[in-house]
Amino acid sequence: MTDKQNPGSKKYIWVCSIYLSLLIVGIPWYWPKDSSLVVMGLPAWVFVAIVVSFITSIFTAYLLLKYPWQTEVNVDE
Amino acid sequence: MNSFQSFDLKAWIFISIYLGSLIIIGFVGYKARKENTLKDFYLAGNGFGLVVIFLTLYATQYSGNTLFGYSGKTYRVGYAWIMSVHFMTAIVACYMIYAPRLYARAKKYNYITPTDYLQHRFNSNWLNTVATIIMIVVLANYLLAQLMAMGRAMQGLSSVDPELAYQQGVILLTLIMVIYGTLGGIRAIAWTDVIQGLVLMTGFIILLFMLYKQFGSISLATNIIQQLPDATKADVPDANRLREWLSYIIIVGLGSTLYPQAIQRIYAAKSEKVLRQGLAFMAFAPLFTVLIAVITGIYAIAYLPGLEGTESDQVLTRMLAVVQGNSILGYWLVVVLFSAILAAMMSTADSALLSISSMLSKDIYGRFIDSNASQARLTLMGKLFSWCLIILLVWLAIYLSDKSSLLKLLDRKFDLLIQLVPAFMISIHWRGMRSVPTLIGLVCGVLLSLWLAYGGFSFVQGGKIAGFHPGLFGLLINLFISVAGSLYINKRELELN
Repeated sequence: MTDKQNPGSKKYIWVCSIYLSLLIVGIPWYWPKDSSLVVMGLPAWVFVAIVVSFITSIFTAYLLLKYPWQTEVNVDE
Repeated sequence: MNSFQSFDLKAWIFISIYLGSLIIIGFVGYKARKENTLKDFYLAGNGFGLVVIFLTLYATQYSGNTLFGYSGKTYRVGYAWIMSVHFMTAIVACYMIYAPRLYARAKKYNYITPTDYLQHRFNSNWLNTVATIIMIVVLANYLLAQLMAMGRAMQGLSSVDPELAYQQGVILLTLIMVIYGTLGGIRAIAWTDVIQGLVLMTGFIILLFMLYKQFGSISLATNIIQQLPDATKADVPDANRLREWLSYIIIVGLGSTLYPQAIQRIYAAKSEKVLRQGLAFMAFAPLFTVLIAVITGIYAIAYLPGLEGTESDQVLTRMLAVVQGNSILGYWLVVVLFSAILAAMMSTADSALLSISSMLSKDIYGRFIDSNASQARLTLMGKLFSWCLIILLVWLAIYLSDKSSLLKLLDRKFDLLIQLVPAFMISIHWRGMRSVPTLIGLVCGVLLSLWLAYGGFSFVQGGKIAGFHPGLFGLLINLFISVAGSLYINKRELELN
């Protein structure tokens, strides 16, 4: 089985790392409590949360479209 | 305060045509059936193509609660409810944990109900039955909530006595839903989902357009909110809210993928490519659905301040009332949006009902009552169960109409669903997972979650412990028992051999 056919264990690490990074950036735990900065009409931390969500959607769609799932072969593994 | 203007005859004709078209689709679905089998009725034989699978996933995932509940929640919580966009996005990412392998197995072994996988994987009637009961309880509660929401929607728009309008709304809409559902099975439900999904998406886009036209840009709303005496709704969330944010991402992300109707949509895809593409579209759905509901709530904070308690749940209705009274265009946009709201509720409810009927028929009746029943008999029993269950739930929806607090008490669906993570998500990757510890873990996880939620503990605030859902604590115990127990049994067997 080629690497492309099976996302495999090596890919799990970087996929999980990217999702974890997005989670860390998306939740505004690091933002100053008194921040009143506004970006595109929204509080900056909300804007960042939306951007992170958009990046997560793109990344998820990329994974889904790029890597075929294993189907009948090795189903019992 | 703006009050909602009841729809006129033309608007009701439009809505009636829309509802009538659903029954016609049910009949077409009935005519399109290829054989009188469970697989044909619940999974549409060989499955659905991309457009149908995407729109049926979309219409099923996004319910009336997305519009009403999330706009109201944003109104109460503030901008921090943007976390809902995150947890709805997390659902698609969580599908990737187990959907690929589950899909492969489902096609190879012809699974029909969600717990067919568990039966095949563990061969344990106990585990299968407990999982089936959990799923039925969760879905029945979810279905009941949708029926009550249908009644409330009709209540808000009809000029007749509110109580009568509620009852008529619940009965009429449920009747339409159960007719097309039992006529055409999943085929009718998925095809109506195509219409309902399109109406729903159109409705959300119309809502965004109406808000902008009526109130101006979001910058103005933010500016007003930051000037309000109670300006905390635009503040960076505190530590408790941040933990809640993380908790929601985990519990909704994992829990939503384990909805029985969601699992059956994995089974029902024509090919893995179609399923992958459908899910890829779904990854973007929160941005043009949940985000718009949150933006609605933000506009309401700015322009409808001062709503308290249950009034805050009517934020969307009140915003629509403002738009409706503004122009003829506004009036008709609201009519279309109302149809979209009905679509959202019905498409979620019909899928839940079909899923329950499949489990009652195959997993309970077919396994314990009549194990020799033919496919046609099981399909018939599934339809019969649908009607019996829906009659009970309609009665409950009417009986509980003024007891919403009781309904909230029952609503711990994600705390329960997430307990199925080891049985589905871990077992599909780890062959060493054993049935007995998985069953004990599942039962302990459910009991601990319910005990924490309803035990009256002082450390449980707003149904959460330091911001985290009780179900996550149940899952920790569940994971420990199922994994450690499986490792122990495997080690013992190795030693004995």
